[in-house]
Amino acid sequence: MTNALRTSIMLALCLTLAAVLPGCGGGGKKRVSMTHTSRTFAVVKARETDSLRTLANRYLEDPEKSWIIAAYNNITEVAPGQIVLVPVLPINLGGITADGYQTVPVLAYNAFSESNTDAITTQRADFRAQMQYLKDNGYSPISLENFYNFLEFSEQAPAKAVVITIDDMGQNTFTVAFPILKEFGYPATVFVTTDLVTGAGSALSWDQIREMQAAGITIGHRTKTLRNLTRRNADESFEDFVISIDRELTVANLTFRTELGNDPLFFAYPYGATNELVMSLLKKNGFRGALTLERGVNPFFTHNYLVKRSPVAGDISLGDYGKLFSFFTKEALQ
Amino acid sequence: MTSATKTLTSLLVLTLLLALGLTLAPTFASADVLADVQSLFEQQKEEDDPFLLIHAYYVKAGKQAQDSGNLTSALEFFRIASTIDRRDRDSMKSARDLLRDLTTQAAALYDEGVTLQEKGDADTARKKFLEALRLNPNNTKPLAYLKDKMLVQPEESYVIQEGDTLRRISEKIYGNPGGELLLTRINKLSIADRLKPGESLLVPVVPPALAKRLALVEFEPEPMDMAKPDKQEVAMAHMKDQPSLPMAQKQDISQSEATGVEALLAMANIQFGNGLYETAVSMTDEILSTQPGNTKAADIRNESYYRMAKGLWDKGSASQSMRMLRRLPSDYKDSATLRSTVQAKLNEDSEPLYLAGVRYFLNEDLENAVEQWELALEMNPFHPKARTDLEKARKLLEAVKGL
Repeated sequence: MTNALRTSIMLALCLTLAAVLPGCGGGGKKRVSMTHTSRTFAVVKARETDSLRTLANRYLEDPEKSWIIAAYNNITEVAPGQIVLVPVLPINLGGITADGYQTVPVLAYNAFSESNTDAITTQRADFRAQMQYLKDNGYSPISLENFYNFLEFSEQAPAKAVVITIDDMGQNTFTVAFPILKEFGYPATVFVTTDLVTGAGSALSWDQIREMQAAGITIGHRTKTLRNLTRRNADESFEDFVISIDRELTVANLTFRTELGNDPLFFAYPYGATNELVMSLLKKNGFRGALTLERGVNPFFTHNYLVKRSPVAGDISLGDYGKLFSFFTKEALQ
Repeated sequence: MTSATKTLTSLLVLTLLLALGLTLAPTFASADVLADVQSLFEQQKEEDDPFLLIHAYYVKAGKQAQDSGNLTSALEFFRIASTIDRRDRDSMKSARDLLRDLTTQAAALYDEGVTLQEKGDADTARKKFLEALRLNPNNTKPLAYLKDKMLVQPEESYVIQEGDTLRRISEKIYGNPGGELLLTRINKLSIADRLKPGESLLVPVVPPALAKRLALVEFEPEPMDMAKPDKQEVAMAHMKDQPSLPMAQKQDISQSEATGVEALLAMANIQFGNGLYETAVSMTDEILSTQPGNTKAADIRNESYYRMAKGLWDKGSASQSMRMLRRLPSDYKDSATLRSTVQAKLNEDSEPLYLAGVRYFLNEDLENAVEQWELALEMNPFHPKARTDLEKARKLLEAVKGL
């Protein structure tokens, strides 16, 4: 369906109802039903206490899905008495239109610092400015889980969805990035290399990781020792190589299970490097998805184990940061 | 409702309907809108339900979208109309018919896509699959094509032959028996499990460079008759079929951009200082792969292996210690001495098992010989003779069974 058409109908509808409803409320007369629901839609007159979240909770069984109602009705909040359309079934899976399809950018951050910047380190003020940039431009950070719902064609994603990921390099993830993410209310994923979590010096500790997880940060897997899983060393036998990369997955999983009580569902390839063998092992270990460091954005038909991520350089300008985002690929389908 | 209010309301409705007419100008002819306004005025009664007003719009929008060939929008609008008014049989029927038409169209597009795909026209096939999904998101068959068939298949299936062992299958597929463990992991088997001919195994695709035999290291078994030309051809033919991942090259660029060598070296140093030698080695190996002459990285790497080897030897794990020692240059510190000590211990532990195997073999009890030699190898994977003898015995067993 063309979005312009849908939007224009919703706009006209809002104006109409704003006028009609007070008129109808003027005299005492037949009570009208406040909601009409079917398998596909709910058409609802909002109650005094309703918000987008309460409506999403009632009709979509998840308050986090309030963006679906907002987007469909082209509104940012709901007024009492307003008539709202709720698409009960996903209306635009995969974000496909006749002119092309939706793409989702995934950002990969490395290290953070209070006030130093280099190729891989983002300083506090810059990170805040970047999060503000997302907000000012109406971008919607979504969790990795919701991103994979989009990839698996089971849920739609906001039109300007982005995913924030951090390949952890130390405690600054907790002291610099985490508070800013909380402040903006943005979901994010931190990929953890278990041997690096020592709690000593500048390293993260499991207490900090647990605190982030409790606050809604997704914790992902980035091996035990950060070994490149696609490179066999010259003096390493094939058998030793297989043992080593298997351990990178399974031993780290044991640690995650002990420390967090669960196996991570998502994996970040060290140095972004992967091949078929690594993907087989991930599949066998039950991972739902894995992320590379190949630049680019992701349509829904991206392979679950080959998700592209754009590394965010520590010294990137806000102008170049903006170029990392592209939400739609034009392609005439007929 | 008082007549004044009614007039006011009507005026507002008129204004808004005009607004609607304007915003929908591309799809609604103005004559239609005027007629629409007129009829609404005639029909409006005091007890009108505001929902019915919306209902009327959606019926109209649905018809309009249907006439202009925008079937997915039409379906959406008729669904809304019939949600509001459950007695609206016409909208319900329209929605049902549209759904049926869209399902048919999507199925046809899917079939076209499959045909195109088989003919090798992947680009056009992709458009067909996308359009099929757009028209009918409930039929997710095109999704499988878009996601897997057009990209990477990490595994293939292998039918077990008479006389196969995991080592032999690995030899056949990869040209290297060392993939045995990999096959057990992927197929959730143990090395001791018996393979049933005719059943299938999952065989991960391994890039040929990763499965190459080590350039004859002293403990590596002789390549024996596995290196016969026919077997190699099997392996090579298999490898030629493999799609290599297109991003492998590109990633080498992005990884050095993403993680600077200096940062990695600093991290490796920290890991080494914390006694996390395995982590230190992972990082230094990564550095050495792009900068083989980086002596700082090489020093950390060698010392890490050396300390791991010593630590494992002190804990009594001779075979693990040997794995580490094999990674060191032979002239590193006193590693040559340590290596012969560890090797002697390995031989001592495995020799009784090996000799038991030999006794069975001489008594023509091949099955028990194989079992003893497998145990010897488990104890000492670097046993110089057990591996070659084991392969010979397995061949003989196979021949005997064939008689």
